[in-house]
Amino acid sequence: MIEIKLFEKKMKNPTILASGILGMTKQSLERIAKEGAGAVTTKSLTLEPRSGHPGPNIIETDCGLLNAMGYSNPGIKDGLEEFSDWKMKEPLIISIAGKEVNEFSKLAAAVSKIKCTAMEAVISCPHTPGYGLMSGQSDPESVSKTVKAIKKKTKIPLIVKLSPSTPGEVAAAKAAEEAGADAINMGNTIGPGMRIDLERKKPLLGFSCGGLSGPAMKPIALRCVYDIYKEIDIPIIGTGGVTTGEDMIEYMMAGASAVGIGTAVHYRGMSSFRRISNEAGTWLEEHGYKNIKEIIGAAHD
Amino acid sequence: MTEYPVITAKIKKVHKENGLSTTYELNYKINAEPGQFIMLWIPGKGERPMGIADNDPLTITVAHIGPFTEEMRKLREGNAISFRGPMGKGFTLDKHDILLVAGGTGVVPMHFLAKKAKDKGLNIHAVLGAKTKNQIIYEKRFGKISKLLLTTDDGSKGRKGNAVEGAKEILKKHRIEAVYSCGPERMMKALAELCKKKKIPCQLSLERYMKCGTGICGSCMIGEKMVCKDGPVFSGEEALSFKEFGKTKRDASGRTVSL
Repeated sequence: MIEIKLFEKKMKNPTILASGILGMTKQSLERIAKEGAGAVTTKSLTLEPRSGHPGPNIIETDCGLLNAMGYSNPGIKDGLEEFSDWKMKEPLIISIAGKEVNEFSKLAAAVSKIKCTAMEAVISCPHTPGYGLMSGQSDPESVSKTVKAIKKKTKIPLIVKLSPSTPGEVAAAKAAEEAGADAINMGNTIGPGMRIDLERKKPLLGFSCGGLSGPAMKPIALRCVYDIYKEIDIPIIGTGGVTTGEDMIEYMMAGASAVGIGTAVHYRGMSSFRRISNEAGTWLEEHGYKNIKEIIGAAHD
Repeated sequence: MTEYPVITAKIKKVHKENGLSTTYELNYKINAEPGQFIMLWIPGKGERPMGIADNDPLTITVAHIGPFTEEMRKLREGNAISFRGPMGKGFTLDKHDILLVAGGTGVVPMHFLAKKAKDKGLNIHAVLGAKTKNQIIYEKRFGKISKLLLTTDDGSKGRKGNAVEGAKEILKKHRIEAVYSCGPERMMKALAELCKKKKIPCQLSLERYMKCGTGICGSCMIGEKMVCKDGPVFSGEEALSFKEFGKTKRDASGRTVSL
């Protein structure tokens, strides 16, 4: 009923652990898979280790979370050592983040050496200098160059992660598809946003501002998925505020083939993946569907 | 709705324990269980997990061991302190005859636990271990609420040896139904193994590099568990099942480093 295939690989349900949530160790990904995720994504790996931004790194808001982790990660060498030898049946997606095309090439070449289902290139982080939205990485021209450079180095399917805050997100998605990307993840956090502590009269996040995730961004990311679906043929992963089974159905009706889940872990714990999948399954049954694929893009004429 | 709002309180009392650590008493009462922690925020400097030494008034003791805790030396009575929490899962007190084993600044959550155990009328033995005489803190406070044994590595005060040797001595002489500990991880590992051998349940408070404190970022993983959310208190049995226990931890970037 809710099984899908992503890049010819079976997923027990369409939920994917989004990059950046847990995902620093192989054992954390194993636990998430056991807790019901259909697939898992590692924290984004960069060429060199990064300690990340000073804390606080994650702050609650009334409508989601603000985070400014700053790509803390052990670097591609230690990271791939950590995630190699993945034995679980749930697909493993390795996330990579480079500052420039050349870095993405090197990262892609390194990831090609280990066993994984896909790699995800993040070009849309809203709060890390030198990366993503802070360095224009999601302009269609840059997207095209980055995707071509990665595809030259690897046969592993490539997901390109955009953000609803990407200017001209539809053009960026089209550029990614034309350059050879195998899927689009829409998307990363939006913003950046900010919270200020009244008593201390200071921004709460260590980096002052950070990406907004969770329920607040759902309508925006959903609209992006809807618009992109009209223009491209490769699969779309809808990410942003998926907290219930109905959220997942909504994204799939907009055109997503799978959904990314992250902030829901804050609201509903690690079992979010199983609960969201079960809720979606129940909804489909109650509405007389036999397979979740029937609803992909159903909101379009 | 936010689950962990930032709370700002004033410092009521600053007490210098020794050259290394300082105790801050705040004009705030926290609704916490022993073993839980707070995320202390210094604007512009960062956020760090801190053990709770007492809930009413909220009291913390900080060892000045890095730039963040060095910054805290500047704090004076009347200054503001901001934090989120309490966070994490604390200790469970469900036995009558208990032994508390604290090493170094591990005395902080152990003190809160001892106070709660005292309120419940439990029979409390405690071992406080330190490298040397002037590094022993909380001696007086523990003296009032427990039967206390001090150990120092160099024998400058109390029994010569480490806290685990002190614990061994107490387990030999007295009937103990449960053991609790916080301190250096190798010490806690030796203690967990001792308790396993003697078939006495134990609970340990573990420490890992934390960033979010709320079970999202994955910085503090040990095995398949998050120290911030599933812990920081784990049973000795579970702690011994983690292959990293007593051996390695992760740094801020997630790289594995030895303990």
